[in-house]
Amino acid sequence: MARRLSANGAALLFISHRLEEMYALCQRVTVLRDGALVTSAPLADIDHDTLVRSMVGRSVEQLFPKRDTEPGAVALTVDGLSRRGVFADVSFTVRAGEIVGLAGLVGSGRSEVARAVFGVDERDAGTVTLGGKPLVAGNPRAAIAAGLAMVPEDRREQGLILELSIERNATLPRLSDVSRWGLVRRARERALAGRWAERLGVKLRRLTDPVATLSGGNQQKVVIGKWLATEPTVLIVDEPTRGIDIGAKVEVHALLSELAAAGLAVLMISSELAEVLGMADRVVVMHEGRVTAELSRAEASEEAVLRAATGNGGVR
Amino acid sequence: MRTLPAGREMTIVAALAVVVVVTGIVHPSFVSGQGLHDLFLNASIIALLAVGQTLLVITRNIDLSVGSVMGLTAYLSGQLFLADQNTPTILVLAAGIGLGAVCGAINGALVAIAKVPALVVTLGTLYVFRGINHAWASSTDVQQVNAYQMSPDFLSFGSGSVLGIPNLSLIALAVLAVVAYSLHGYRAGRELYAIGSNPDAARLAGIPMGRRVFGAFVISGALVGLGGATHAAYFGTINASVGTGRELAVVAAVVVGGVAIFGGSGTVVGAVLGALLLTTITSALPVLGVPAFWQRAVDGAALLLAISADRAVLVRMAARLRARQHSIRSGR
Amino acid sequence: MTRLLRWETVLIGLCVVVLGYGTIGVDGFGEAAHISFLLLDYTEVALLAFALLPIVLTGQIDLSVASVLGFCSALTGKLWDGGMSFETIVPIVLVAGVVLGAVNAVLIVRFGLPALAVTIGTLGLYRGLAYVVLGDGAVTGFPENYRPLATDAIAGTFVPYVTVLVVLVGVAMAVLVHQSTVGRALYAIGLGEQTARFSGVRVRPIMMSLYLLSGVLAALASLVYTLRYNSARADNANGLELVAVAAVLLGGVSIFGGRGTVLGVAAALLAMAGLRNVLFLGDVSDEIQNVITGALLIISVLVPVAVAAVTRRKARSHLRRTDEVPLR
Repeated sequence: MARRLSANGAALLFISHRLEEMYALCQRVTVLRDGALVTSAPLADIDHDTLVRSMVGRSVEQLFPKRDTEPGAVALTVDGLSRRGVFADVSFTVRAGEIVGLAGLVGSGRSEVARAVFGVDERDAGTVTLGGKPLVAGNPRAAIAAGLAMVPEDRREQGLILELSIERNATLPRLSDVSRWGLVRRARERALAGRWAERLGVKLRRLTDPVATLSGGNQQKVVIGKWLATEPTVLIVDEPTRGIDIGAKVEVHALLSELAAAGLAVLMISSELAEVLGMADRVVVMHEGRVTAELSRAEASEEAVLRAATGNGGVR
Repeated sequence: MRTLPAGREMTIVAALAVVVVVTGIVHPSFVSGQGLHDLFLNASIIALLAVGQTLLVITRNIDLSVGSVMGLTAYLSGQLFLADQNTPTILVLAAGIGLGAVCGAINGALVAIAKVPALVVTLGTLYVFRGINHAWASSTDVQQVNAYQMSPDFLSFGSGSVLGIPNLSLIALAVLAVVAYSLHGYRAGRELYAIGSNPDAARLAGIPMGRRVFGAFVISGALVGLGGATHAAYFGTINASVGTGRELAVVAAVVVGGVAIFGGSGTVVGAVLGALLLTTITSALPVLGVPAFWQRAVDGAALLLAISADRAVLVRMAARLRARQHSIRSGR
Repeated sequence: MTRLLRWETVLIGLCVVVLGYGTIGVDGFGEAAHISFLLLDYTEVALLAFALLPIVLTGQIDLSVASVLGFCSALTGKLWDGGMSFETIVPIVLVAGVVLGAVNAVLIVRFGLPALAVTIGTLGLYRGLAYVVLGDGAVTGFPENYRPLATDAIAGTFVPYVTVLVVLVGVAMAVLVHQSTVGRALYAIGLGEQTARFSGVRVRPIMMSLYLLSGVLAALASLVYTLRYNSARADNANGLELVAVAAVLLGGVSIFGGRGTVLGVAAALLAMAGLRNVLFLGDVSDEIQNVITGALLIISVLVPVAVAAVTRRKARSHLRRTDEVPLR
């Protein structure tokens, strides 16, 4: 559509931080950082690394730092999960220490599967087993207690309460743990929030500031920290680096790798192919509500994943 | 979205038919010419209020001060006659409309310009307008105005009819026709639906929200003013308590009529039918031998039934949509 | 947070002004009898307002509270007239309150129907049922040993017994809303219900309990009302829900949810009661009081809007620039 518009003579200002998109679509690029102009040049004259460097301000060695790990026992088993009209017969496993990428086009039902597994949405059929024990449907509280956590797709509407303070956001799933006899212990609340903010390097002014005052990357760190504070054995992250800058992106990826290496089972949903290919040990691909492929790290090429995501691949 | 309102209107008409028929069997005079005449007459005033309220509820607002505004304009009518018993009817009506519009403008200004929630504002003006009404009554020492103090012309207008149809009903029908057409035939009208349906999208689409909502309040106020003046013409006795409590009856009529309290959908035709249904039930109960005590309970129950039915229909529609999606998927 | 504290300060200031003016400028205001009267006058409104507070904090509303009061009062009258002992009536009435609250809870939380419309419906339904139970008349002659509890002050002081009840309820509500985990959940639900759900907050059970609590408090208020006026009528407290809502909103609680304090509501109640009595003693009519209540209500919502507009203008220059690149 953009190409059609420009072919008709329209001038298009395309704002993005997806490099592949820019190279595919645009002729000129203008880079802004921290409110100032960094450079403006035809894309043909700028190579990938130079562009990244001008966006981030420092040289980025590797965008996706992934450590190789030995996966442990099966932590999460999803078997035959179905929700009428949304997804059908979805099955996969995630082992401790591995990152399973859940890939697919927008609308393929991945987030819906995650929400059904976590319990915010209902499921019509199928089972979810966490650490060997079956998980009740439709009960996020029980899921959290069993060791499951989910960083949701929509940071602003599902991950955070923007008008609430950073510390209250960060401790929301653990209210009972920072309180005694039903009464909140403010000191404990603050300590818990502060600990995770520091651990994840959240740049903030005061813990009592509304979380809306933070940048996108820092907000995402608060969400991740909020969920890590529940000490999960399985972590679902839905679009972990959407809408955040490259610097924070690298930090999040490094964190996920580190957590996996320490034994966390991670299910990562992402629409960014490079992210999936770079981070995942295994890739499960969905298309229109069904699993169409399960690929090992070696098998997972751009072509293979895209083929499965558009429904052209054979069923597993 | 068309199917839902159309279905709702048919349901109300069906319910109306049931009530009228059942009551008619028990007491045939209920369905006589005089009986039906009275039914329409009773519903006319609240129909006017319901039309105005619909405009507001569509935009996700509400006006709780309608009872107080109605009282104020009815009282104004009385005062005009005290000043000159032969005040022309048309002048009294115009004065009522004018005062109603002014009150509506005050509400509208607070809601649209200061962006203050309508529920709170109109709760406040409910008190303020009613207080002004009482204060006026106290300061002029006029607690009540009676029929003999008004012009006979005015009173016969109130209870008169043309070809068997009460004047007040004709007015209500005319207003209904004009507003119903405007809501769909004019862009400004359709924009009201957009505002209630998705305020953010409406703003981004360039709809002048402040102006539209303000306009809706003014029009609704004018209609309430007309309602107050016609109330005076019909009942002939006015005091400063006229209209107390009407706001909840109006909202009930509007909701029963299919106007979603969340805004964005519903028709004025439905609202008027809702008003007609509730008034008819109220009139039918004593005829059916049900003690008048049950009236309010029945009204409340009718409202609850209406919103539950709405939700049931929506849920079923959503399920059907999902099933259709599923069959498209598995058919692939 | 600071914005809220500012409104509470205004309210307390208003209280001071009203009560101060009353004591100095109005004859008889400072007398113990009148202070008692002042405190008594708003007892039921206070209980209803405290019942409403947590519900409004979650972004909902309950307009049926006064009708629950009316029904419970009618029920009290009917049972008393039938010869039942008052001691048996009390628990029955409280249970009735719970049941009425449960109807709201199921319709609003379980079925997801809009709270405003539902409670307008139950407002009518319950008031209607009150008439069905008791008809047009009134029942009087309530027990002599209990009535003074509702009308008198503690011996030697100006503090009515029921004021102690109100204070207890207020303190309990303050602990619930400001100190407990449930209170945290209330604000979370009011400001971001989806996130609250995603964070494991048990939204539905909490919200259902709020309506049950509202029913109980309304039933409690009905007992006080019936004893205080020594009269059970189906139209008792007709329209009182609007006064209670006005007190809550005037107290700085946002109608959208997520903002408000118990202190604010308490201060608003005190200010409204004080104002009413100052005007009453000054022989000012009910009507002017209504005008002032309404005006205060409107001002109470205009002020935060004005303050927010000013704050936003200041914050725009201070706000940390985001390094998030917007997706288009």
